[in-house]
Amino acid sequence: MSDTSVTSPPKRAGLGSLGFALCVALLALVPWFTGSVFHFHIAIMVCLGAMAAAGLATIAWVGQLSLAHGAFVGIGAYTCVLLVTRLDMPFLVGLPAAAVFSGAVAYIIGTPLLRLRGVYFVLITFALNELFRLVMLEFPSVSGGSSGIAGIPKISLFGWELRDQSQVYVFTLLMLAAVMALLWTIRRGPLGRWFSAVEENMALAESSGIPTARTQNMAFVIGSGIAGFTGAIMAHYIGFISPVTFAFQLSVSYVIILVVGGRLALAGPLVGALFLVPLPEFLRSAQEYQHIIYGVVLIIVLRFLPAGLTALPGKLSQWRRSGE
Amino acid sequence: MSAILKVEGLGKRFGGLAALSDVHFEAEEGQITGLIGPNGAGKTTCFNLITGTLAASAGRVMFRGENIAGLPPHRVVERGLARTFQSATTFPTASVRENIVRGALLRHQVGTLASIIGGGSARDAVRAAEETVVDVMDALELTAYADREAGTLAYGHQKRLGVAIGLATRPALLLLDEPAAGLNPEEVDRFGSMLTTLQQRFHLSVLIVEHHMRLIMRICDHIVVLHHGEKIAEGSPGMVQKDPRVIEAYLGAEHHVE
Repeated sequence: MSDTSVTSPPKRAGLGSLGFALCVALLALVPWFTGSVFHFHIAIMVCLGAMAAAGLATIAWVGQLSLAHGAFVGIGAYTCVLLVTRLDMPFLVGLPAAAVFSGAVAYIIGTPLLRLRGVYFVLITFALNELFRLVMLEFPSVSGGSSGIAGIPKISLFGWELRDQSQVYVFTLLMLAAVMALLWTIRRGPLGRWFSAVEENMALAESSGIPTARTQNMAFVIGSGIAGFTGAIMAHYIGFISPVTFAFQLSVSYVIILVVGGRLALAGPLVGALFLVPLPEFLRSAQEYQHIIYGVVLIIVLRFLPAGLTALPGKLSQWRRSGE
Repeated sequence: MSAILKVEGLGKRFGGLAALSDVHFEAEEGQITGLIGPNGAGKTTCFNLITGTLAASAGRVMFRGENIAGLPPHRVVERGLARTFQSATTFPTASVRENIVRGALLRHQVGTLASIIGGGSARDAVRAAEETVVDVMDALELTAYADREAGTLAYGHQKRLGVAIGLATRPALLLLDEPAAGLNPEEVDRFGSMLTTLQQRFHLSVLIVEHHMRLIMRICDHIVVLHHGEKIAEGSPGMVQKDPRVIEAYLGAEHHVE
């Protein structure tokens, strides 16, 4: 085998990611072309889905799968909503507080729990998500109980209320860009190297001087913090939250977005959300088959594209080459 | 000459089984010390105790005058004691260069905040680590494979990469766990010469566990022999080869003890 056979792909990948960025930018502009409120709504939900899944991707980056991600979105949502409605704090204080508080909760439970790996961590986080729902239902004075909290004020920035969907969309898009920029920075820096090292070979990572326990916890804190951040925006956009909003199903939907999009690619959560969030809206007429369609999509992706849809272009060129 | 590593009364019990009991030995600075013994003698257990992978039941591990027994592995590496693994252990989906960078980052750390939000210090750290890598890749003759995915390398190259990752952490003492296992005779010879070169170039002390007697006898300055979890002999290669207890322990098992 020749040693120089690997020099050409980077250039192509560069072109590919430029094309991808262009496609995403065009897709992001669609609601303005159509001018439809419904399309703006879907676009906002795509951004929120991608953002939460990006948090989950950060945790998956160190090789852990959290099924409590929905609960962390919920913790952020409740933190921000309670700060805004009960303590009259501005949204711009509640939003970072939501991220910090979710991250802090993750830090506390992550320290003992991240000793578990693989399916054990999945199971314990699954239990935690249920615990969150049940505990919140037990304290209706805080959570609003099963009837939740309604009439949450709209997002307001320095006294300027985002009334239109298009305004909320711009804000959400910017926040998503910020989250992606953060992950991109981590990926290029030392911390991203540590994350990947821990995921690929824990024993070797530890023996190379990487504090694996602390590194995993850091990913869990950052990922869950992003979840809380998303939750705060989501709550103030939709205007209603209840413990049931953040039940197990939400966690599963983030996992599906991540797996379908691509677990290890930076753009994975975005691609997954672009594909899966609008899907049910266009399948309204076939609502009873919705879950079946989700299941089929998931199976197809796992069977043919285990690295997710982001790996599709690479696979296609590979198939084309082998076909020649 | 002084000892860089002193193992004092080291012992490990797994339930009722004493895998290692009351082992004493020293590794001299700037030398290659061999740790040999038949299968199941406790060599790898001894390694795991020294590097913190396992917790010792008894004894001390003095490294440059400090007891490192009980420290987690990443703290041990930080103090300048790196190890390689018995099997070819790499980060399989990362490039060779990236594999070594991950080791080199140990000596170029940045604060928590800078590692999250980036900035100049994080960039400098990565750049400095990448510079170290060039040197290490050159020493282990891996430069030609820099951009190859580690998992696609030949077995012998993967083992060398394992050494490179350890070396990138800039250790004073390098522990090699059966570096020649699975290599063909030609590769073993090459590895031997490479190791002596490395030792001088990076001012290393080396502690090596190995079954390959010809290699051990050729490169080691001092040899410690374990059998059934106990030290039965130590000395120069010439002395150890003639020791009746060593011959008895190996009898029939290792024909190439000449």
